[in-house]
Amino acid sequence: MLRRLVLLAALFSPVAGLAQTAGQVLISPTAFGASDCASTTMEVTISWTSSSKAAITTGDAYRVFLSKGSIACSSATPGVTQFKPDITATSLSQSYPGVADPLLYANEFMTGAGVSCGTTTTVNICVQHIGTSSTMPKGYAEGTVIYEAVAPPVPTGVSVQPGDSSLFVSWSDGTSTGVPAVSYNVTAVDPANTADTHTQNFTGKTNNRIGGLTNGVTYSVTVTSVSAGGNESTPSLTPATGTPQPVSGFWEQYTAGVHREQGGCSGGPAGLVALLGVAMALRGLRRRS
Amino acid sequence: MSRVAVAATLALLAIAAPALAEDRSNGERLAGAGSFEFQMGQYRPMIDSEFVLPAGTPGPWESSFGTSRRWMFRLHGAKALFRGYGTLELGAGVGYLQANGHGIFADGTVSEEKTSFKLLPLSLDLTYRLDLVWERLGVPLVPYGRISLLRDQWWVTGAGGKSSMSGATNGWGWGGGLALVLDYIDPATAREFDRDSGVKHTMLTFEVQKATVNDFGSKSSWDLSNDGLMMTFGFMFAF
Repeated sequence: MLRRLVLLAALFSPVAGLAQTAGQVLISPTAFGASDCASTTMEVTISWTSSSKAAITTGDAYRVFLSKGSIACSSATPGVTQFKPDITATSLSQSYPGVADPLLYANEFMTGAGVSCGTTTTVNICVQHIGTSSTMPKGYAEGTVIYEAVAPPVPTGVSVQPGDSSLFVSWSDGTSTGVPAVSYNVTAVDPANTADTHTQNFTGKTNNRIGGLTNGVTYSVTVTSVSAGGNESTPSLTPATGTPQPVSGFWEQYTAGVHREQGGCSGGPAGLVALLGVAMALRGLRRRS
Repeated sequence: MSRVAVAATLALLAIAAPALAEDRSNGERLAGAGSFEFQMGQYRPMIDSEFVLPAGTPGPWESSFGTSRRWMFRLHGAKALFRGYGTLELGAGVGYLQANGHGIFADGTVSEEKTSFKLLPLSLDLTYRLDLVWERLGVPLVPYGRISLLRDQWWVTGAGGKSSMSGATNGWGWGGGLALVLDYIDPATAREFDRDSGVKHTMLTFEVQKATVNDFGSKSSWDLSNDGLMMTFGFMFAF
């Protein structure tokens, strides 16, 4: 029995020893929109942390690979053409382009990954940490970034409830386009006075309160959805209308008629003095006893 | 609530029954340096009582927050002043309650706009606990009573957060209750708790309170007294 356990340990220990958890690659921007694909002005930065447990030694380098397909990042042969020449490793956490490197623009990044503009694509990024003594990477890091070729779905079913100088707007996500919405732009406009237009961006929720409106004015409300890459859908098809109205909160209701409480601490100081007085009296009694 | 109170009292009496049936002389002193207590109970102020309204017409509190009572939580610390048949403690407490509701339109319909009422009740209390029931008779049910000076700090937020008001209202109150000495149930754990934390005794408390908080009858104060008696329960730790 003991021999079997020793054998099992011997079999699995090399695997456990060699297995590495991939380091992380981060891309700035975190997503690309439709207009970014061919951009020659949008700067891209690739940052990573090597999974290597060993410190950087002289001769170490990083190799960056981009692909819309898979990359065998932990392998000596990743199966993808290297994106840039070897980058001298100076730290386990590093980024490209460095201070001395030319800027990297979105169009070059997309071309390097083999992305066709017009097709939503997830780009895989692999950074290998290469040493001088072996063809196997000392460490590696992986990440993805999405290029969104289309806008997220057009919101549907917009409904409006009046609030005080505000409207409570709710809506639904429309038919999926393959690109999810991460935020929504809610626009309320007075059709009789288009200068009275209010737009607010809300993240995540499909209902929210748009404020800063004028009570008594009927607003037309539309919603657009926005993707992580900044693509914005067309506005919801049928605008909803709503008219903000004054609302009485608890205090307004309490003070609407004849009432006693005025707020503040009118009776407060007397009460505090009484409380302190009792405390001091008790303390005095205790001392005497 | 009264049914719950009766049930809880009966439960406490049931637990205490074995102790009543035998002569126990191993009770220990409950009193030490002082005590610390956590309490919770349900509260509804009598704010609407100052308005004479037609039948069926809700007052401002009811129309904003409804008729249900809200949970109030309190922490209370006390220092022992005197020990005889029982213990006299001087203490102070702080609590918290929050009620959230919706504002109304001019026609009385409920809006989506939120309005809230927050209460921070402060108290200065004198508590007398009849420890001899446990210490000499070995009965783990210790009666106690207290009188309090109260100061309720409050904050009101209007519809959509556009208006707010705050203030303080003073008053007084009394309370009486029973503390079930939990050491009786598991003395070994109690001794371990004492060694680890310095807590000599742990008690489950059940208390009836009456508070009158209206700036001592001032004509310019609303009434934050609890609507009826407040039943609380909690834990008391004696050091």
